[in-house]
Amino acid sequence: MSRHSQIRALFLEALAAPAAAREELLRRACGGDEELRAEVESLVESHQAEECFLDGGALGSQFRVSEALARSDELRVGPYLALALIGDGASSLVYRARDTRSGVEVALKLLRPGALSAQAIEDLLAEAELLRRLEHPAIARCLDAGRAQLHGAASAYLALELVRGTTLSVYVRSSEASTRHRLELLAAVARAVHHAHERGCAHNDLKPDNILVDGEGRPKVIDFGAARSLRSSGDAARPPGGTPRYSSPERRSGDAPFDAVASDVYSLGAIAWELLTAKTPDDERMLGEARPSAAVTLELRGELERVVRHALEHDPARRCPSAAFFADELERYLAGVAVLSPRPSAARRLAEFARANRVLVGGFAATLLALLAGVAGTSWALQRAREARDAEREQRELAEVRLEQAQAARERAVQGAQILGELFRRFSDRSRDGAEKVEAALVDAASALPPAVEGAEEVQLALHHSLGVALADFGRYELTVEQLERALALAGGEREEQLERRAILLLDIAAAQSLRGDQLASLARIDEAQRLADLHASISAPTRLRCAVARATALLERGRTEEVRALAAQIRAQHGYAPGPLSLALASIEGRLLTEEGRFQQAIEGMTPALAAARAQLGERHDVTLGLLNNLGSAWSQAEDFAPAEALLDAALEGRTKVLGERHPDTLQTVHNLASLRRRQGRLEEALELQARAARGRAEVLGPLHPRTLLSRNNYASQLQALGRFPEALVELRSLLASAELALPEQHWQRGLYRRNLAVLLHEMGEYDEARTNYRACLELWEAQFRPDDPRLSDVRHLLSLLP
Amino acid sequence: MSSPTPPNEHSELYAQIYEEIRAIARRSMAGERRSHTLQPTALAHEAFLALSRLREAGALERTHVVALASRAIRRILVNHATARLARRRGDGARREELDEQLSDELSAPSGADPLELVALNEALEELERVDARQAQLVELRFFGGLSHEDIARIQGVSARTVDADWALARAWLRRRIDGAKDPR
Repeated sequence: MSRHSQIRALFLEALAAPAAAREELLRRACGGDEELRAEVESLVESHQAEECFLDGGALGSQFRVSEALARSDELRVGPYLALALIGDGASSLVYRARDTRSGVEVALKLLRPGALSAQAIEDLLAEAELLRRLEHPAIARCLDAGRAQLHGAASAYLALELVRGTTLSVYVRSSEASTRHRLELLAAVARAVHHAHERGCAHNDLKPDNILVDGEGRPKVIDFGAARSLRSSGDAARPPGGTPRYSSPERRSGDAPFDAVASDVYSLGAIAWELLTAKTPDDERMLGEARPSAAVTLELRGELERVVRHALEHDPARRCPSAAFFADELERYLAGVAVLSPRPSAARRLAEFARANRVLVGGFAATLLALLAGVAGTSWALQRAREARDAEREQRELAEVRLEQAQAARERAVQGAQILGELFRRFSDRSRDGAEKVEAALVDAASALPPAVEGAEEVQLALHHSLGVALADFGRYELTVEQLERALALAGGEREEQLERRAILLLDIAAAQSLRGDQLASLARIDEAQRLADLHASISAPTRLRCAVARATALLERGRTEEVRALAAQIRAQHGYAPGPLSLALASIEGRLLTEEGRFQQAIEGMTPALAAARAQLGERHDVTLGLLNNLGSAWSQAEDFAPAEALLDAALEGRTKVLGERHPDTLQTVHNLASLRRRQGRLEEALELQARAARGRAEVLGPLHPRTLLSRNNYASQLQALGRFPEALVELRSLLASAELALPEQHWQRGLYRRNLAVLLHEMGEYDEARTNYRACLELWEAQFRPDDPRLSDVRHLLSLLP
Repeated sequence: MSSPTPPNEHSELYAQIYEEIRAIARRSMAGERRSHTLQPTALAHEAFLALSRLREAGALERTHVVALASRAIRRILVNHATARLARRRGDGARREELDEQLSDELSAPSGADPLELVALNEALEELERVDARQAQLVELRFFGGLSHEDIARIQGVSARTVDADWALARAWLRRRIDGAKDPR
């Protein structure tokens, strides 16, 4: 008998005996084996203690595998036997089910038990009622509906024609459907929608996910859960929810009079736009506002573009009048017949343009271009004046006058050049058309600038500098660096203001290189500026502070947090808490450090007054204010206090989008953080969408190998994993790891992170060997990097120990 | 019936079950975060559908499914508890943009204290080495929510044996966990 069996027998015997007799019984049974006696006694003592958590279940009474399994044989609703879950909505579940009377398979829509209410039952039955009015080959038919008991509660069911197929978006992607086929599908869907309209029913939630395509490439409109009768009015006619990116502006705004038919037509237009441009419709704004022709792909141009835009008209009164008209137009286009959709009138286009580009229409573009030309021109004028002085000695007097004039012009030009960048920042509208125009002007100007002319270096330098800074605002970081480098090449001299300017130029270059993703080069430039500051006492305190803060930011970007911490302390010691943007920027960095260490409360306490100060001193739109909004929001988010997190991050996103544009790296950072927040809130689908937007944006703006892009891709993969989409997550993580190994230095800690995350996924997928290899690789890397007591190490070790 | 084949965690089936239950738990947790109430009916409802799909796919022995599902629940909850503890230590938030890699681990609808869960898991691993049947009993009872009758059927022993095993396993684990909590 093993030791444990022996213990078991004695333990049971002792329990069975009256309490008073136990001690004696054990003494006798154990003979001299004191250890055994102590063991059993302590077990008996443990047994007698009060209730403990082991007595309940890990999930309380809420989950019992046995019950769950027992009932799995009997998901019967009315005459239907559920076979498999095929759809998973907020308030309902759709099963593939068999009609036990006929053996026919149907799509059975049931209310989620958690969403069960008397109203929900009535709504489901009303949906059946509406559907019964419809009979169209491209609408999934209602076969049966009724009330039923489900798990002991009154509920209802809806049996629909079972469509074996995929959703429209998946179909279009996977079958690489031709443009013609896409248009045919759209026309068929539009006909079905029109049929519903004729029978007095609006769908109210048309989107690619609610359109299935069957095995023969025919579309079926499904899910009339938001459908309403056109005869109902008032609140009863206004459907719930809806999917914003396919919803008409009047429906989204929620207050304009609502025409359900026109609104369905708009949704058809939005689906068409997506199908033809392959743009995922985060570009809500694009759909809603003046739609730039630059976004139109080859598939959507000319007459077809007119047709789709007609359906997407903002004003319902001007919109394509019916779904049938839309279908007719598509078919006319397919048949090569001229379409009827109007070309937007010149006045209307002008009005749209004016709305989008208020400032430019005011003549700003022209002014800027003139100013640019003028600045470039004065360089030549000055040079010519100098030449004239030399060549025409006999006309010395005249030449002096010219030279004076030219010098005065140069002064003005320098000033003009200096305010140029400021003007761009302040006035250029961020809507795409406007930005493109200004950007184009800048790029032209950059290429048109003459090479440096002797004596005109000042002008030339100021111009390159301003142009460079202005180009950075448009995300043209390559050109920015090029312009700034040219400015730097002209910035010689040992006078105080010349040294100062050189330091500033170096820091500007560093900022652009950092935004471009070239962290090493950026850091090198900052170090260069730092050396200037070390050598020359004349470099001003603000520039020194800027240099230190830039250095801290760059190091943070590189993940060298220890150095950042030391540097931040040093800056505080040197510069104190003097008010001003840089001090507040430093507070932001310190907040980020604390957040990273998980000291959320301290981070919040530090950044809250800094944000208030930034708002008061710098205004809502200042970079530093926006950065603080972002960082403070992120700290709240990680502290899992969602209300302030949401308010702050929303404000940060709005502000950054307005000031910096949608694609600016900082804007994308906020998108990224908002995605994290959504995920913590359990809003997984939204999180996935935001994460995809951040990852895509960063790949485009910063390049696919930038560390921040890699982070976004990592979180996107995590998001897929969280949604149970393992194969996709696996593909993403593998490619991420490959990118990281290409892009990051060998010792970069992020490499370890991606290995770890890949291992976690493999672990979950049961690929234990590969998981082990990756955990170990991560551990090896991190052990070389982190202090031995770093919790990241124990995390990986623990995960490794969980492997079978 | 002799003692059952121990659940094999390397099997395809286990991976499937694990995935299913994880997804269910996550969904129910997402619901919970919004409404701050669990939806036990919805959870059970979806859970059995998931399990029935598996059964349909593989015509499996019910006992195997039950045992594997209980194991999957254990692992999910323990992973979650570990992640939560890590986050408490501030380990989940190493930088502003990275904070969520640990919350990859799902949020399961568990009221159990993560410390207790992690301690229980370690104690159970030890118990497995001492007496595998008792350890499985705890897994089935605590994580799978099975009754002693069901467990007796699965383990091929009498209900009285299960009662006795439980009394000992419970005392053993308690002592082990309390001892770990409060080292002398």
